[in-house]
Amino acid sequence: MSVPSPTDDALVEGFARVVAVEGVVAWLEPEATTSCSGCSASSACGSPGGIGTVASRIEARRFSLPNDQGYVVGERVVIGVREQALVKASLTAYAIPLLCMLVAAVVAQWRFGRDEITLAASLIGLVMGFSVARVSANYLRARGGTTLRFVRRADEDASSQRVSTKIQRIERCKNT
Amino acid sequence: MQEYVMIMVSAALVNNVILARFLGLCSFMGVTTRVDTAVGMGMATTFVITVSSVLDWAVQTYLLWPYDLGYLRTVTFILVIAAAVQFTEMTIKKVSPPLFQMLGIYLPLITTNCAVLGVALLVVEGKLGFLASVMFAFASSLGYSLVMVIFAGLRERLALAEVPLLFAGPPIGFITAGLLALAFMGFSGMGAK
Repeated sequence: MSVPSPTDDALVEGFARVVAVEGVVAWLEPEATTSCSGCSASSACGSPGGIGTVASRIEARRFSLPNDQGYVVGERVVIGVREQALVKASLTAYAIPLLCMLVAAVVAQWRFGRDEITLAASLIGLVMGFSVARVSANYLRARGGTTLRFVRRADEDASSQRVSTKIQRIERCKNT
Repeated sequence: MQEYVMIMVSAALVNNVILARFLGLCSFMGVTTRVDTAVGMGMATTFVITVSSVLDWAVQTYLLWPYDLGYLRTVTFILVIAAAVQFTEMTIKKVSPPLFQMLGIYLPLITTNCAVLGVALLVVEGKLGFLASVMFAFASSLGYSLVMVIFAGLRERLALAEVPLLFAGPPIGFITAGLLALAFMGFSGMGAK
């Protein structure tokens, strides 16, 4: 059985709210997902305003889009990013530093055979891995691989979105 | 070398974190509606488990054991894990803001993921050397990611299947998880003579 290959335009979608419009740039904040309320951590991160709370984390993730759609402050929109981009981003941010750390640890253990040196080498490898990840992330960004896109206004056609998602999934399963 | 391979196979498949030790079940059911989100969560968890296990091993070996502070282990490990998650979040934000926009949502979920604390405690209980501990933590988290992705794939298929109303939603998800756990029990025969 072959592995399903998502099409290039398959998007991971999410909701965001327009919080400011500054000329040609609109600032948006992602909405907390409904699963947040069901999460076991919700009580721990529910106090408003503090460091590490849901509100502060969402504010930290504020992003901008070109204001080519005539956004209005307070408006809810659907934004998307390519499915492949999410996987590539995960590999860049996590796999590269982790592999560098593991390789450094294995080499140090094989060369010196002492836990203290292996520990130090693994931490150095982790820092080097982040440097490599930074270069790789810049390359991804230059190719537009991590760009968030406007998909549609949230209130436009929620039902047609559900249908299109289902059709997309059926097409993917047919390809297997 | 053979010792490390045995540790990794055992941690990833035979004693899988989710299906054999029943850790991280919250994210197992909550973040597996799509394969891509499962991959994102799996990678983030793999990273945090491995890095926090490295730090926890160092804290246990150079601080808690020498000064006979074993009773502070759980509290200390929780602090270390929270610090590791916060550090990861800040680093990714610094290294690449676009990646942080895409992946930042998973990191807060990991802070309270019991699989992270569970693996760190298992590493210490095992009284292994440093590299063996790292390999154990890495393989455990790889096993976690593998199960997350497999289960997400199954749930994507289930979304298209005609499930009787009585079993629709979480019930068929739990039944599928049970069948997956039974399938993984097959690995427990590995190495038996």
